[in-house]
Amino acid sequence: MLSLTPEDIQAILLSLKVALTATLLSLPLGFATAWLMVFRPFRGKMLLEVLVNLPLTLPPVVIGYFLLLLLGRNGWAGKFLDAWGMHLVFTWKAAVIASATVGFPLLVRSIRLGMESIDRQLIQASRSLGASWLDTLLTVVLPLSVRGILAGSSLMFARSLGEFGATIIVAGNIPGLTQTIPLAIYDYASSPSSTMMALSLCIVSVVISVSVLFMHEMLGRNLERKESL
Amino acid sequence: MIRITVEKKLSGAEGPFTLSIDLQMKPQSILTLYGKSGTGKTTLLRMLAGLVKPDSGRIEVNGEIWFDSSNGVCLPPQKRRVGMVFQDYALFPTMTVRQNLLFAQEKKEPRKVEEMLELTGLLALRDRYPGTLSGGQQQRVALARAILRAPDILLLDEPLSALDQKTRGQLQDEILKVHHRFGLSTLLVSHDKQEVFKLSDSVAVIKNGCITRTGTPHDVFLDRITSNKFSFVSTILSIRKVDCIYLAVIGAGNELVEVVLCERDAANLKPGDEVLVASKAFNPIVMKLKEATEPEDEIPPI
Repeated sequence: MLSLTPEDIQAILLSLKVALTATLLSLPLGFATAWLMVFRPFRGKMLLEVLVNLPLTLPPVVIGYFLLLLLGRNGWAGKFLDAWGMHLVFTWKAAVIASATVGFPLLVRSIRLGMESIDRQLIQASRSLGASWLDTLLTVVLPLSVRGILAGSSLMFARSLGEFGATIIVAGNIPGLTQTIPLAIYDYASSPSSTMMALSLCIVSVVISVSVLFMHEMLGRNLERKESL
Repeated sequence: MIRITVEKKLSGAEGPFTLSIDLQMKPQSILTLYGKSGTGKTTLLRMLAGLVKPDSGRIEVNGEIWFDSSNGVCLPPQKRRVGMVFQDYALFPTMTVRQNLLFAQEKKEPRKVEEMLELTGLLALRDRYPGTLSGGQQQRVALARAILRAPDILLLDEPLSALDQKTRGQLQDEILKVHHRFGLSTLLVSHDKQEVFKLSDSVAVIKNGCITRTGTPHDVFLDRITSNKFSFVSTILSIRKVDCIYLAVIGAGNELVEVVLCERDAANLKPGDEVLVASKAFNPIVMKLKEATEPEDEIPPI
């Protein structure tokens, strides 16, 4: 049966907290980035695309190391934050940043796919009916991108739950503080006597992932039903 | 008064050409742009709506300058009062019929929306989403939405081309009804002669980016060189030999006509050729099939 210690439960709650925060924080920026890429052709768009997709191809450990250099006491962002009395490295906030960086390309990709499938004529219709671009964005583009946003959020949430490489470098593996499910499993897996403990956390992981996928399907179906009324 | 003088280089199927239009429209009339596809009719509508920028020229609507290349004026689409009806409707799929109509109003006046729903027979469908409506119903919503924008000019881009014959006839009547009620200056794009004839006060024929003829539909379409009593232009669909004569099947609108060809003609013609079918000596029989609620049908000659 499942055997979970209080530390395990803390790791589960922390994982959910980190994944949820990372996803919610990335949503507005992800939406804006996708919109920029789809609807606003500009110089240097290629560069933005490469930059956004880079975390998808880089090893997470490399991303973690760069983040550590950036956010650490001597990094330029770290220095700036230090002056404000904020210290991010080796806290759960660092885990959020690591997850957000790694999951961001997945979010942008999904929202972008959704936006690209919007009939351009709808946007033109909206403009010719007197709506400004901001009105059009909020009342036409946003509702039509909901599917993409939903898919992107689920993907990013799931990816954040599984984040390991970047997190362990920039947030460490401190039980009760920055230890998420994958990090806890890693700890258990390195000692042969803890097979059951590792397996229990694995099962919890599967249950969470399946629930996320189910929720995504259900929300998608609700949307469909609404539009076919 | 609406004055349009625009020029723009376009790339068509047969290479680049210049769309060069000089057009004036009487207020409260329906003017049709008639011509083959790819001649720049739709582009002209989109220029009026502000969705496409002309290379040069001037667009003036009721004394207001919408576009003037000589001093860099170009109003964005939302600043021009146009009611655009797109060929495939462009209804917002996430909004109900009623919400689609409300979207067009600057000052939200639900009472006016209700009136419009009633006028266009959409009251029962007000809470449905566009995806569940038939083509004719969707086009009705699109028309109602464009009118609720209270436009200076109504732009109809082949609004009925995707509909079947019967629905098309009904919607043509509806467009006329709405036109009489609101008196909107209307610019229609169509390549259906019957539709143009029924709806428009005047026609401008566009060919290769230029207007080649303007006038009433009667002048433009029925003025032929010969003094035939009955004639139409169509395409030969097939030719076959029966005993010693040749029979050709020719399309006439939505009907098929079979005519006898002499041997010399048959040798000259092949399926796909465009021909003028005319009868000089005989008047075709015209028999009433139905009262006038629908357009009268002429019996094709046998």
